[in-house]
Amino acid sequence: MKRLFLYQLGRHSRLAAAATILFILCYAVLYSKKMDMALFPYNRMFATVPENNRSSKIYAVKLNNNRIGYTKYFYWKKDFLEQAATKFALYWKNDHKNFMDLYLAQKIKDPSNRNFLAQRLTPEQPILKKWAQWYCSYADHPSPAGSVVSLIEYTMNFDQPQPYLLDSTEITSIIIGK
Amino acid sequence: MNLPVAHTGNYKRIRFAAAIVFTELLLMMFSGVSFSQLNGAAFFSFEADPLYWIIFGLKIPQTIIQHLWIGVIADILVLLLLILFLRNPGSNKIVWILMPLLLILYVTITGYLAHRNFQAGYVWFFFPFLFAKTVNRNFAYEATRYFLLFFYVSAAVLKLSNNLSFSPAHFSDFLVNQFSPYFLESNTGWRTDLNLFLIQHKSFSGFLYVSSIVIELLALIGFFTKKYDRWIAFLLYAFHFTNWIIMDIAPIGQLGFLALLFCREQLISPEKVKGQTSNFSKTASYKYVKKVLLIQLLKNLCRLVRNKLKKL
Repeated sequence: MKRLFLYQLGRHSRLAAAATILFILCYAVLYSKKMDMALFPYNRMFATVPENNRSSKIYAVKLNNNRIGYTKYFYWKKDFLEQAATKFALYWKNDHKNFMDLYLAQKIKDPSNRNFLAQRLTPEQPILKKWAQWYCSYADHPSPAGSVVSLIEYTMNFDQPQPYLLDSTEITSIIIGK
Repeated sequence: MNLPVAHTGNYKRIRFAAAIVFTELLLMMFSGVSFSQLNGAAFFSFEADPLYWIIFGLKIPQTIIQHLWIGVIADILVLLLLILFLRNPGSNKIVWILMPLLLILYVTITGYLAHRNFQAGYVWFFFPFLFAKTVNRNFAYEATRYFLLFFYVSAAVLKLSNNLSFSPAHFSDFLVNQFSPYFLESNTGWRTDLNLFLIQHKSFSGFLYVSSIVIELLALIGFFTKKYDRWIAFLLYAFHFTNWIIMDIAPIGQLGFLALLFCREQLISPEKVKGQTSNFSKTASYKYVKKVLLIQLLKNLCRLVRNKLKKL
Protein backbone atom coordinates (compact mmCIF):
# COMPACT_ATOMS: atom_id res chain seq x y z
CA MET A 1 0.00 0.00 0.00
CA LYS A 2 2.73 2.44 1.05
CA ARG A 3 4.58 1.81 -2.18
CA LEU A 4 1.59 2.73 -4.32
CA PHE A 5 2.20 5.80 -6.46
CA LEU A 6 -1.08 7.48 -5.55
CA TYR A 7 -0.50 6.90 -1.85
CA GLN A 8 2.96 8.45 -2.04
CA LEU A 9 1.63 11.33 -4.10
CA GLY A 10 -1.13 11.87 -1.53
CA ARG A 11 1.44 12.00 1.25
CA HIS A 12 3.41 14.57 -0.72
CA SER A 13 0.52 16.72 -1.92
CA ARG A 14 -3.19 16.12 -1.51
CA LEU A 15 -3.96 18.56 -4.29
CA ALA A 16 -1.75 16.67 -6.76
CA ALA A 17 -3.32 13.37 -5.73
CA ALA A 18 -6.82 14.82 -6.15
CA ALA A 19 -5.88 16.19 -9.58
CA THR A 20 -4.52 12.78 -10.60
CA ILE A 21 -7.65 10.99 -9.41
CA LEU A 22 -9.81 13.54 -11.24
CA PHE A 23 -7.76 12.97 -14.41
CA ILE A 24 -8.17 9.19 -14.12
CA LEU A 25 -11.94 9.57 -13.58
CA CYS A 26 -12.31 11.97 -16.52
CA TYR A 27 -10.30 9.65 -18.70
CA ALA A 28 -12.44 6.68 -17.64
CA VAL A 29 -15.63 8.63 -18.45
CA LEU A 30 -14.29 9.66 -21.88
CA TYR A 31 -13.19 6.12 -22.53
CA SER A 32 -16.52 4.63 -21.50
CA LYS A 33 -18.30 7.10 -23.80
CA LYS A 34 -16.15 5.85 -26.68
CA MET A 35 -14.40 9.23 -26.87
CA ASP A 36 -11.18 7.40 -27.44
CA MET A 37 -9.77 10.21 -29.56
CA ALA A 38 -9.36 12.45 -26.54
CA LEU A 39 -5.99 13.41 -25.07
CA PHE A 40 -4.12 10.60 -26.65
CA PRO A 41 -4.95 9.55 -30.17
CA TYR A 42 -6.11 6.02 -29.83
CA ASN A 43 -7.33 6.25 -33.38
CA ARG A 44 -9.09 3.06 -32.44
CA MET A 45 -5.68 1.38 -32.62
CA PHE A 46 -6.82 -1.01 -35.33
CA ALA A 47 -9.09 -2.56 -32.74
CA THR A 48 -12.25 -2.25 -34.83
CA VAL A 49 -13.50 -5.07 -37.00
CA PRO A 50 -12.61 -4.18 -40.59
CA GLU A 51 -14.93 -4.70 -43.51
CA ASN A 52 -14.41 -8.17 -44.78
CA ASN A 53 -13.59 -7.34 -48.35
CA ARG A 54 -10.58 -7.22 -50.58
CA SER A 55 -11.00 -3.75 -51.96
CA SER A 56 -9.71 -0.36 -50.94
CA LYS A 57 -10.99 3.15 -51.61
CA ILE A 58 -8.41 5.79 -52.47
CA TYR A 59 -9.11 9.49 -52.89
CA ALA A 60 -6.97 11.75 -55.03
CA VAL A 61 -7.12 15.17 -56.66
CA LYS A 62 -6.75 15.80 -60.38
CA LEU A 63 -5.55 19.15 -61.67
CA ASN A 64 -6.48 19.67 -65.33
CA ASN A 65 -7.05 15.92 -65.60
CA ASN A 66 -3.60 15.02 -64.22
CA ARG A 67 -3.63 13.18 -60.92
CA ILE A 68 -1.61 14.83 -58.18
CA GLY A 69 0.63 12.11 -56.77
CA TYR A 70 1.67 12.20 -53.14
CA THR A 71 3.44 8.94 -52.32
CA LYS A 72 6.74 10.43 -53.48
CA TYR A 73 6.73 12.85 -50.55
CA PHE A 74 8.25 12.15 -47.15
CA TYR A 75 5.85 10.55 -44.65
CA TRP A 76 4.04 13.53 -43.13
CA LYS A 77 3.38 15.45 -46.30
CA LYS A 78 2.31 12.23 -48.02
CA ASP A 79 0.01 11.50 -45.12
CA PHE A 80 -1.39 15.01 -45.10
CA LEU A 81 -2.16 14.97 -48.81
CA GLU A 82 -3.65 11.48 -48.61
CA GLN A 83 -5.81 12.12 -45.55
CA ALA A 84 -6.83 15.65 -46.57
CA ALA A 85 -8.21 14.32 -49.87
CA THR A 86 -9.89 11.35 -48.16
CA LYS A 87 -11.54 13.33 -45.37
CA PHE A 88 -12.65 16.13 -47.65
CA ALA A 89 -14.15 13.59 -50.06
CA LEU A 90 -16.06 11.92 -47.23
CA TYR A 91 -17.24 15.34 -46.01
CA TRP A 92 -18.44 16.21 -49.51
CA LYS A 93 -20.20 12.88 -49.94
CA ASN A 94 -21.91 13.37 -46.58
CA ASP A 95 -23.83 16.47 -47.77
CA HIS A 96 -20.98 18.79 -46.74
CA LYS A 97 -21.27 17.77 -43.12
CA ASN A 98 -18.55 16.49 -40.81
CA PHE A 99 -18.81 14.93 -37.39
CA MET A 100 -19.19 18.23 -35.54
CA ASP A 101 -22.04 19.43 -37.80
CA LEU A 102 -24.02 16.31 -36.95
CA TYR A 103 -22.98 16.34 -33.30
CA LEU A 104 -24.01 19.97 -32.74
CA ALA A 105 -27.31 19.44 -34.57
CA GLN A 106 -28.05 16.49 -32.33
CA LYS A 107 -26.88 17.90 -28.99
CA ILE A 108 -27.59 21.65 -29.10
CA LYS A 109 -31.20 22.58 -29.59
CA ASP A 110 -30.91 26.36 -29.27
CA PRO A 111 -30.17 27.71 -32.81
CA SER A 112 -28.17 30.75 -31.68
CA ASN A 113 -25.87 28.64 -29.48
CA ARG A 114 -25.56 26.04 -32.21
CA ASN A 115 -24.59 28.68 -34.79
CA PHE A 116 -22.10 30.23 -32.40
CA LEU A 117 -20.38 26.88 -31.88
CA ALA A 118 -20.67 25.85 -35.53
CA GLN A 119 -18.82 29.02 -36.56
CA ARG A 120 -15.90 27.93 -34.44
CA LEU A 121 -15.96 24.16 -34.66
CA THR A 122 -16.83 23.58 -38.31
CA PRO A 123 -15.11 24.90 -41.45
CA GLU A 124 -16.21 28.18 -42.96
CA GLN A 125 -18.45 28.00 -46.06
CA PRO A 126 -18.14 28.07 -49.06
CA ILE A 127 -15.14 25.82 -48.84
CA LEU A 128 -14.64 23.92 -52.12
CA LYS A 129 -12.67 26.58 -54.01
CA LYS A 130 -10.50 27.47 -51.02
CA TRP A 131 -9.80 23.84 -50.29
CA ALA A 132 -9.00 22.98 -53.92
CA GLN A 133 -6.59 25.92 -54.25
CA TRP A 134 -4.92 25.13 -50.96
CA TYR A 135 -4.56 21.41 -51.78
CA CYS A 136 -2.94 22.10 -55.16
CA SER A 137 -0.54 24.68 -53.80
CA TYR A 138 0.34 22.45 -50.82
CA ALA A 139 1.09 19.63 -53.27
CA ASP A 140 3.41 22.00 -55.19
CA HIS A 141 1.00 22.21 -58.15
CA PRO A 142 -0.17 25.83 -58.43
CA SER A 143 -3.67 26.16 -59.89
CA PRO A 144 -3.95 29.35 -61.98
CA ALA A 145 -7.33 30.80 -62.94
CA GLY A 146 -9.19 28.53 -65.32
CA SER A 147 -7.70 25.30 -63.90
CA VAL A 148 -10.08 22.42 -63.31
CA VAL A 149 -9.65 20.65 -60.00
CA SER A 150 -11.48 17.33 -59.49
CA LEU A 151 -11.76 15.05 -56.52
CA ILE A 152 -11.77 11.39 -57.55
CA GLU A 153 -12.61 8.18 -55.72
CA TYR A 154 -10.72 5.10 -56.89
CA THR A 155 -11.53 1.53 -55.98
CA MET A 156 -8.68 -0.94 -56.02
CA ASN A 157 -9.17 -4.67 -55.70
CA PHE A 158 -6.81 -7.06 -53.97
CA ASP A 159 -8.51 -10.38 -54.74
CA GLN A 160 -5.86 -11.32 -57.31
CA PRO A 161 -2.11 -11.83 -56.73
CA GLN A 162 -1.57 -8.28 -58.06
CA PRO A 163 -3.94 -5.41 -57.14
CA TYR A 164 -5.88 -3.78 -59.94
CA LEU A 165 -7.96 -0.65 -60.40
CA LEU A 166 -11.64 -1.55 -60.50
CA ASP A 167 -13.38 1.77 -60.73
CA SER A 168 -13.00 5.53 -60.50
CA THR A 169 -15.71 8.12 -59.82
CA GLU A 170 -15.58 11.89 -59.82
CA ILE A 171 -16.97 13.21 -56.54
CA THR A 172 -16.84 16.90 -57.41
CA SER A 173 -14.93 19.32 -59.55
CA ILE A 174 -14.46 23.08 -59.71
CA ILE A 175 -13.04 25.58 -62.16
CA ILE A 176 -10.74 27.94 -60.36
CA GLY A 177 -11.91 31.48 -61.12
CA LYS A 178 -9.95 34.71 -61.05
CA MET B 1 27.36 18.10 0.12
CA ASN B 2 27.33 16.81 -3.43
CA LEU B 3 23.84 16.81 -4.83
CA PRO B 4 22.17 13.93 -6.64
CA VAL B 5 22.46 13.73 -10.39
CA ALA B 6 19.18 15.49 -11.13
CA HIS B 7 20.32 18.60 -9.26
CA THR B 8 23.80 18.90 -10.65
CA GLY B 9 22.63 19.49 -14.18
CA ASN B 10 23.90 16.13 -15.48
CA TYR B 11 21.04 15.71 -17.91
CA LYS B 12 22.84 13.60 -20.51
CA ARG B 13 20.04 11.11 -21.15
CA ILE B 14 17.29 13.70 -20.85
CA ARG B 15 19.14 15.83 -23.39
CA PHE B 16 19.45 12.83 -25.67
CA ALA B 17 15.71 12.10 -25.40
CA ALA B 18 14.94 15.80 -25.98
CA ALA B 19 17.28 15.74 -28.99
CA ILE B 20 15.13 12.91 -30.41
CA VAL B 21 12.01 15.07 -29.93
CA PHE B 22 13.83 17.99 -31.58
CA THR B 23 14.82 15.79 -34.55
CA GLU B 24 11.27 14.49 -34.84
CA LEU B 25 9.91 18.03 -35.04
CA LEU B 26 12.59 19.07 -37.51
CA LEU B 27 11.71 16.09 -39.72
CA MET B 28 8.05 17.03 -39.56
CA MET B 29 8.76 20.64 -40.45
CA PHE B 30 11.18 19.85 -43.27
CA SER B 31 8.75 17.36 -44.77
CA GLY B 32 6.12 20.11 -44.97
CA VAL B 33 4.02 19.96 -41.81
CA SER B 34 4.17 22.98 -39.53
CA PHE B 35 2.09 26.04 -38.60
CA SER B 36 3.41 28.17 -41.45
CA GLN B 37 3.36 25.45 -44.09
CA LEU B 38 -0.33 24.77 -43.55
CA ASN B 39 -1.10 28.42 -44.25
CA GLY B 40 -4.38 28.88 -46.11
CA ALA B 41 -5.82 25.44 -45.26
CA ALA B 42 -9.59 25.76 -45.08
CA PHE B 43 -10.96 22.38 -44.10
CA PHE B 44 -10.71 20.96 -40.61
CA SER B 45 -12.59 18.24 -38.83
CA PHE B 46 -12.41 16.49 -35.50
CA GLU B 47 -14.54 14.25 -33.36
CA ALA B 48 -15.83 14.24 -29.81
CA ASP B 49 -12.81 15.63 -27.99
CA PRO B 50 -13.16 18.47 -25.45
CA LEU B 51 -9.52 19.46 -25.94
CA TYR B 52 -10.15 20.22 -29.61
CA TRP B 53 -13.42 21.97 -28.82
CA ILE B 54 -11.65 24.37 -26.46
CA ILE B 55 -8.67 25.13 -28.69
CA PHE B 56 -10.69 25.44 -31.91
CA GLY B 57 -13.49 27.19 -29.97
CA LEU B 58 -10.97 29.91 -29.07
CA LYS B 59 -10.09 30.07 -32.80
CA ILE B 60 -6.38 29.63 -32.05
CA PRO B 61 -5.53 27.20 -34.90
CA GLN B 62 -7.75 29.10 -37.37
CA THR B 63 -5.95 32.38 -36.58
CA ILE B 64 -2.47 30.85 -36.87
CA ILE B 65 -3.27 29.07 -40.15
CA GLN B 66 -4.85 32.14 -41.76
CA HIS B 67 -1.94 34.47 -40.93
CA LEU B 68 1.39 33.37 -42.37
CA TRP B 69 3.42 35.68 -40.14
CA ILE B 70 1.90 34.20 -36.97
CA GLY B 71 2.66 30.71 -38.30
CA VAL B 72 6.28 31.60 -39.04
CA ILE B 73 6.74 33.16 -35.59
CA ALA B 74 5.16 30.10 -33.92
CA ASP B 75 7.43 27.71 -35.86
CA ILE B 76 10.54 29.70 -34.96
CA LEU B 77 9.40 29.88 -31.33
CA VAL B 78 8.94 26.09 -31.16
CA LEU B 79 12.46 25.43 -32.47
CA LEU B 80 14.02 28.18 -30.37
CA LEU B 81 12.40 26.96 -27.16
CA LEU B 82 13.45 23.39 -27.94
CA ILE B 83 17.06 24.52 -28.36
CA LEU B 84 16.83 26.42 -25.06
CA PHE B 85 15.40 23.30 -23.40
CA LEU B 86 18.26 21.22 -24.80
CA ARG B 87 20.70 23.70 -23.30
CA ASN B 88 18.97 23.74 -19.96
CA PRO B 89 16.51 20.91 -19.26
CA GLY B 90 16.29 22.06 -15.65
CA SER B 91 14.44 25.26 -16.48
CA ASN B 92 10.71 24.73 -16.18
CA LYS B 93 9.94 28.27 -17.39
CA ILE B 94 10.82 27.27 -20.96
CA VAL B 95 8.50 24.27 -20.74
CA TRP B 96 5.57 26.38 -19.53
CA ILE B 97 5.62 28.09 -22.96
CA LEU B 98 6.89 25.19 -25.05
CA MET B 99 4.41 22.52 -23.97
CA PRO B 100 1.21 24.53 -24.65
CA LEU B 101 2.71 25.61 -27.97
CA LEU B 102 3.39 21.99 -28.93
CA LEU B 103 -0.11 21.02 -27.81
CA ILE B 104 -1.55 23.72 -30.10
CA LEU B 105 0.72 22.46 -32.91
CA TYR B 106 -0.55 18.92 -32.38
CA VAL B 107 -4.21 19.97 -32.25
CA THR B 108 -3.75 22.20 -35.33
CA ILE B 109 -2.02 19.52 -37.40
CA THR B 110 -4.45 16.76 -36.55
CA GLY B 111 -7.47 19.08 -36.77
CA TYR B 112 -6.56 20.16 -40.31
CA LEU B 113 -5.46 16.66 -41.23
CA ALA B 114 -8.90 15.53 -39.96
CA HIS B 115 -7.27 12.31 -38.83
CA ARG B 116 -5.44 11.44 -35.64
CA ASN B 117 -2.51 9.40 -36.86
CA PHE B 118 0.18 11.88 -35.83
CA GLN B 119 1.69 10.78 -32.54
CA ALA B 120 1.25 13.07 -29.53
CA GLY B 121 4.28 11.86 -27.54
CA TYR B 122 6.31 14.97 -28.36
CA VAL B 123 3.81 16.99 -26.31
CA TRP B 124 3.52 14.71 -23.27
CA PHE B 125 7.31 14.29 -23.15
CA PHE B 126 7.56 17.70 -21.49
CA PHE B 127 5.03 17.11 -18.71
CA PRO B 128 7.59 16.18 -15.99
CA PHE B 129 9.67 19.23 -16.89
CA LEU B 130 6.82 21.59 -16.05
CA PHE B 131 7.85 21.22 -12.42
CA ALA B 132 10.83 23.00 -10.91
CA LYS B 133 11.22 21.11 -7.64
CA THR B 134 12.89 17.74 -8.08
CA VAL B 135 10.40 15.93 -5.91
CA ASN B 136 7.47 17.30 -7.94
CA ARG B 137 9.28 16.44 -11.13
CA ASN B 138 9.81 12.90 -9.86
CA PHE B 139 6.11 12.45 -9.26
CA ALA B 140 5.23 13.99 -12.62
CA TYR B 141 7.70 11.67 -14.31
CA GLU B 142 6.16 8.69 -12.55
CA ALA B 143 2.67 9.78 -13.64
CA THR B 144 3.82 10.30 -17.23
CA ARG B 145 5.49 6.90 -17.24
CA TYR B 146 2.30 5.21 -16.03
CA PHE B 147 0.32 7.05 -18.68
CA LEU B 148 2.73 5.92 -21.39
CA LEU B 149 2.42 2.31 -20.24
CA PHE B 150 -1.35 2.62 -19.97
CA PHE B 151 -1.50 3.90 -23.55
CA TYR B 152 0.01 0.69 -24.92
CA VAL B 153 -1.73 -1.68 -22.51
CA SER B 154 -5.13 -0.14 -23.28
CA ALA B 155 -4.46 -0.56 -27.02
CA ALA B 156 -4.04 -4.28 -26.37
CA VAL B 157 -7.14 -4.36 -24.14
CA LEU B 158 -9.17 -2.65 -26.89
CA LYS B 159 -8.12 -5.32 -29.36
CA LEU B 160 -8.78 -8.17 -26.95
CA SER B 161 -12.17 -6.77 -25.93
CA ASN B 162 -13.21 -6.73 -29.59
CA ASN B 163 -12.13 -10.38 -29.96
CA LEU B 164 -9.78 -9.39 -32.75
CA SER B 165 -6.93 -11.60 -31.60
CA PHE B 166 -8.95 -14.66 -32.50
CA SER B 167 -9.61 -13.64 -36.10
CA PRO B 168 -6.35 -13.87 -38.03
CA ALA B 169 -7.94 -12.62 -41.26
CA HIS B 170 -8.64 -9.19 -39.77
CA PHE B 171 -5.12 -7.91 -40.01
CA SER B 172 -4.94 -8.95 -43.63
CA ASP B 173 -8.13 -6.92 -44.22
CA PHE B 174 -6.55 -3.89 -42.55
CA LEU B 175 -3.45 -4.21 -44.69
CA VAL B 176 -5.48 -3.93 -47.89
CA ASN B 177 -5.88 -0.22 -47.21
CA GLN B 178 -2.38 0.61 -46.03
CA PHE B 179 -0.42 0.79 -49.29
CA SER B 180 -3.19 1.18 -51.88
CA PRO B 181 -2.12 4.75 -52.92
CA TYR B 182 1.36 3.39 -53.68
CA PHE B 183 -0.18 0.79 -56.01
CA LEU B 184 -2.40 3.43 -57.61
CA GLU B 185 0.64 5.58 -58.36
CA SER B 186 2.77 2.53 -59.32
CA ASN B 187 5.27 3.61 -56.67
CA THR B 188 6.08 0.05 -55.66
CA GLY B 189 9.09 -1.58 -53.97
CA TRP B 190 9.97 -4.09 -51.29
CA ARG B 191 7.47 -2.68 -48.79
CA THR B 192 4.56 -3.01 -51.22
CA ASP B 193 5.76 -6.56 -52.06
CA LEU B 194 5.76 -7.35 -48.34
CA ASN B 195 2.28 -5.81 -48.07
CA LEU B 196 0.99 -8.09 -50.83
CA PHE B 197 2.63 -11.11 -49.20
CA LEU B 198 0.93 -10.35 -45.87
CA ILE B 199 -2.43 -9.73 -47.52
CA GLN B 200 -2.24 -13.11 -49.21
CA HIS B 201 -0.86 -15.02 -46.18
CA LYS B 202 -3.57 -14.35 -43.65
CA SER B 203 -2.30 -16.70 -40.96
CA PHE B 204 1.17 -15.11 -40.98
CA SER B 205 -0.25 -11.59 -40.83
CA GLY B 206 -2.60 -12.80 -38.07
CA PHE B 207 0.44 -14.05 -36.16
CA LEU B 208 2.06 -10.61 -36.48
CA TYR B 209 -1.14 -8.98 -35.19
CA VAL B 210 -1.21 -11.27 -32.15
CA SER B 211 2.50 -10.54 -31.58
CA SER B 212 1.73 -6.83 -31.54
CA ILE B 213 -0.97 -7.43 -28.91
CA VAL B 214 1.55 -9.40 -26.82
CA ILE B 215 4.13 -6.57 -27.04
CA GLU B 216 1.52 -3.99 -26.04
CA LEU B 217 0.45 -6.20 -23.13
CA LEU B 218 4.05 -6.59 -21.96
CA ALA B 219 3.98 -2.91 -21.02
CA LEU B 220 1.77 -4.10 -18.13
CA ILE B 221 4.94 -5.36 -16.40
CA GLY B 222 5.95 -1.71 -16.01
CA PHE B 223 3.09 -1.18 -13.56
CA PHE B 224 4.70 -3.60 -11.11
CA THR B 225 8.41 -3.04 -11.58
CA LYS B 226 10.73 -0.51 -13.16
CA LYS B 227 13.48 -3.06 -13.66
CA TYR B 228 12.49 -3.85 -17.23
CA ASP B 229 11.80 -0.32 -18.45
CA ARG B 230 14.51 -0.34 -21.09
CA TRP B 231 13.40 -3.75 -22.39
CA ILE B 232 9.83 -2.50 -22.63
CA ALA B 233 11.13 0.56 -24.50
CA PHE B 234 13.17 -1.61 -26.92
CA LEU B 235 10.14 -3.83 -27.60
CA LEU B 236 7.91 -0.82 -28.20
CA TYR B 237 10.50 0.68 -30.56
CA ALA B 238 10.56 -2.63 -32.44
CA PHE B 239 6.74 -2.58 -32.52
CA HIS B 240 6.67 0.96 -33.93
CA PHE B 241 9.34 0.39 -36.57
CA THR B 242 7.65 -2.82 -37.70
CA ASN B 243 4.42 -0.83 -37.97
CA TRP B 244 6.23 1.68 -40.15
CA ILE B 245 7.45 -1.03 -42.49
CA ILE B 246 4.29 -3.11 -42.62
CA MET B 247 1.57 -0.51 -42.23
CA ASP B 248 3.23 2.74 -43.30
CA ILE B 249 2.51 4.35 -39.92
CA ALA B 250 5.56 6.31 -38.83
CA PRO B 251 6.21 6.52 -35.09
CA ILE B 252 7.80 9.95 -35.33
CA GLY B 253 6.47 12.01 -32.48
CA GLN B 254 6.50 9.03 -30.15
CA LEU B 255 10.18 8.08 -30.22
CA GLY B 256 11.38 10.79 -27.85
CA PHE B 257 8.49 10.07 -25.50
CA LEU B 258 9.45 6.39 -25.33
CA ALA B 259 13.05 7.45 -24.65
CA LEU B 260 11.77 8.82 -21.30
CA LEU B 261 11.84 5.20 -20.14
CA PHE B 262 15.64 5.41 -20.27
CA CYS B 263 15.77 8.63 -18.24
CA ARG B 264 14.47 7.34 -14.91
CA GLU B 265 17.85 7.36 -13.22
CA GLN B 266 18.41 11.01 -14.05
CA LEU B 267 14.95 12.15 -13.06
CA ILE B 268 14.29 10.24 -9.88
CA SER B 269 16.10 11.60 -6.85
CA PRO B 270 16.34 10.01 -3.41
CA GLU B 271 14.41 12.81 -1.72
CA LYS B 272 12.11 11.62 0.97
CA VAL B 273 8.47 12.33 0.61
CA LYS B 274 7.51 14.24 3.76
CA GLY B 275 9.71 12.21 6.00
CA GLN B 276 8.65 8.91 4.52
CA THR B 277 11.12 6.71 2.69
CA SER B 278 9.80 6.19 -0.77
CA ASN B 279 10.48 3.36 -3.12
CA PHE B 280 12.68 5.78 -5.02
CA SER B 281 15.40 4.90 -2.54
CA LYS B 282 16.31 1.95 -4.68
CA THR B 283 17.33 4.07 -7.64
CA ALA B 284 20.83 4.56 -8.98
CA SER B 285 20.93 8.22 -7.95
CA TYR B 286 20.33 7.12 -4.36
CA LYS B 287 23.28 4.77 -4.64
CA TYR B 288 25.26 7.64 -6.13
CA VAL B 289 24.47 9.90 -3.18
CA LYS B 290 25.37 7.11 -0.76
CA LYS B 291 28.70 6.73 -2.54
CA VAL B 292 29.35 10.49 -2.46
CA LEU B 293 28.49 10.70 1.23
CA LEU B 294 30.74 7.77 2.00
CA ILE B 295 33.64 9.37 0.13
CA GLN B 296 32.98 12.66 1.96
CA LEU B 297 32.93 10.82 5.27
CA LEU B 298 36.18 9.02 4.50
CA LYS B 299 37.82 12.32 3.46
CA ASN B 300 36.73 13.98 6.70
CA LEU B 301 37.97 11.03 8.70
CA CYS B 302 41.34 11.19 6.91
CA ARG B 303 41.55 14.94 7.57
CA LEU B 304 40.72 14.39 11.24
CA VAL B 305 43.34 11.67 11.59
CA ARG B 306 45.92 13.86 9.78
CA ASN B 307 45.20 16.82 12.11
CA LYS B 308 45.46 14.60 15.13
CA LEU B 309 48.75 13.21 13.87
CA LYS B 310 50.08 16.72 13.28
CA LYS B 311 49.18 17.73 16.84
CA LEU B 312 50.97 14.72 18.14
